[in-house]
Amino acid sequence: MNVAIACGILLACFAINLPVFIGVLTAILSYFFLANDASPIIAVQRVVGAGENITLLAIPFFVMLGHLLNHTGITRRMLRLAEVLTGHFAGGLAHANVLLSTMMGGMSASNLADCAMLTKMLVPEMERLGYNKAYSAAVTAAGSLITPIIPPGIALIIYGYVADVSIGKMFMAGVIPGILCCVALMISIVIVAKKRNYKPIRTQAPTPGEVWVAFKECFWGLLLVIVIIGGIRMGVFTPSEAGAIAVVYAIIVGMFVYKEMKFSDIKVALMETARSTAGIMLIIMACSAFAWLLTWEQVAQGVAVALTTFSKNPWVFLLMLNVLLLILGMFIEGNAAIIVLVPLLMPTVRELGIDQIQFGIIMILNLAIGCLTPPMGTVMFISTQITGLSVREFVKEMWPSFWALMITLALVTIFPSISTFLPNY
Amino acid sequence: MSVHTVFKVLDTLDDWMAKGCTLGIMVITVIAVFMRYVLNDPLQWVEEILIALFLWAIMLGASSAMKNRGHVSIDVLVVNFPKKWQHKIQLFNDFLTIAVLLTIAYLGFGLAMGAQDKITPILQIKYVYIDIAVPIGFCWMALHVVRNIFKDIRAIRNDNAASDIQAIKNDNAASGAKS
Repeated sequence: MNVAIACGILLACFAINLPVFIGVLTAILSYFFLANDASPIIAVQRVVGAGENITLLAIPFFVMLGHLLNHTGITRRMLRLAEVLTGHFAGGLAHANVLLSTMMGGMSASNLADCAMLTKMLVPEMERLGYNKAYSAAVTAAGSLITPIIPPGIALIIYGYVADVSIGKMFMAGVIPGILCCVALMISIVIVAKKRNYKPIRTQAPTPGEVWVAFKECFWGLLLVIVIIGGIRMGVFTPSEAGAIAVVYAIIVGMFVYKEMKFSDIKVALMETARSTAGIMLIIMACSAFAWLLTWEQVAQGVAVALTTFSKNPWVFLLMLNVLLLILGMFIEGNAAIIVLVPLLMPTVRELGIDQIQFGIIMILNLAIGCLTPPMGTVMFISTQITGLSVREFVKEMWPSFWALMITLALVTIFPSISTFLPNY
Repeated sequence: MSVHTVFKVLDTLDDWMAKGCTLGIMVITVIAVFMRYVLNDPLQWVEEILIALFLWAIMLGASSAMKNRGHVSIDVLVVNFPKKWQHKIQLFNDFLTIAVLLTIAYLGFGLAMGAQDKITPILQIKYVYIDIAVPIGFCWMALHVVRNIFKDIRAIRNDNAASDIQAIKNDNAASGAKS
């Protein structure tokens, strides 16, 4: 009963524009106030405990890397390569856009930062070439959803932490689903572009020479992806060590190779990193305490019993899970949802024999799609805010990309090996 | 030192300390990687320092973000309300935030004091010095919220004044049109 009241208070706090972490803490405190038999010091212990965790220490490094990338000049060179590779398809710039998001996903950890940067950079350009503005914004937003799935994504780190799965494995698990999202989005672009007659930006397929020139230009940027993913895959680095090396590498490339980064850029990035890391971590810390409270009240067992008496079939469970997560993803902040829901659903997942890595990827993909749709689509808000479009216009043009991502989600749900092949290889 | 200077220092000190802690985390990790892979002489104590710095960086960064209202909140519902309601909700939120922050700060202080005897295994840092970051960070955030309330009240007054002036102008225009 007290838990139900606490959940009600939580949702009310979310609705009135209270900072998310304060809302969660309010719910926790009111639970202890009502229950009266447990000491709230335990809750604070949980809050602090999450902040003293070595696994989550990888987060500031990848946040820092994301902030630095904007100044390194890597992005512009990557766009050039993407244009050369895909420019000759119908709707060339839209393809380059999605491909760039995928490549950037290999370095950046935040879909919001990616979406903001790419929207500012590419939407005006697409509009100039005769694309519908709302469609351009929607494609860019959908493309940036790939970022959290491709390593190093913060959602992957957080899932690894709550589910107690190796983060290196989660990173590997994200690679194929991320590429699938990219392919699905590009197919949807071909269909739309053919129908609306969006022109390619180049007349013919690139010659090997052109590809080589563009590739050479952004070689140092692509090497960064290999350092991060390869280093972790080979077991050479822990995720935070890989993050530290990537940060140093990006600074060296930005300042001495491409010579576009200034010392003041690093200072700005440091401040931004401190603030955004704190924002992410406070939500994680508050939600860990809330998740503990749900465990304490044995809610997870209740959920497991309810779900397994309904059906013992893993397929039915996964289908229900997808529907539930899509709906929740529309209302709840993604990282918060992972921390609260994973402990809740884990007993059921184990009982039905579903792979934990696949479950994680399904969850992250679902919550990512929730960022694109109203009412709580954070990526959608960033996009509409920057382009000045209304949510209605955005949603109308969102559907092709939305269905492309939904098909990917269906594939990831049906075939576990899409997620588990690389980590277990 | 006057109260004014103290407040001025408190206003920017958290930025610098947060940046310092974040930089510390980066630099120490890089040194640790270097020691481990290049000199083959891993530093045992790194993890303890990193965890201490991480908690401090989070708390101070949180304070810095609170100053700029940088914490994620969900405004989809509230933006549809009339302006007057929005002001009231904003003030309610600010006061609730202060209450929650101070409660957690109080509990966190108790937790830190309870950890008097706990020390980290290698460097033997007292956990008090790590855990005390929580009450300090939360009190600092509360301070920023108090200042934000003053800013809000001023903004609301200006808003109301602006709408009053607009109303008078409309009245004048209407009566002007009549005459």
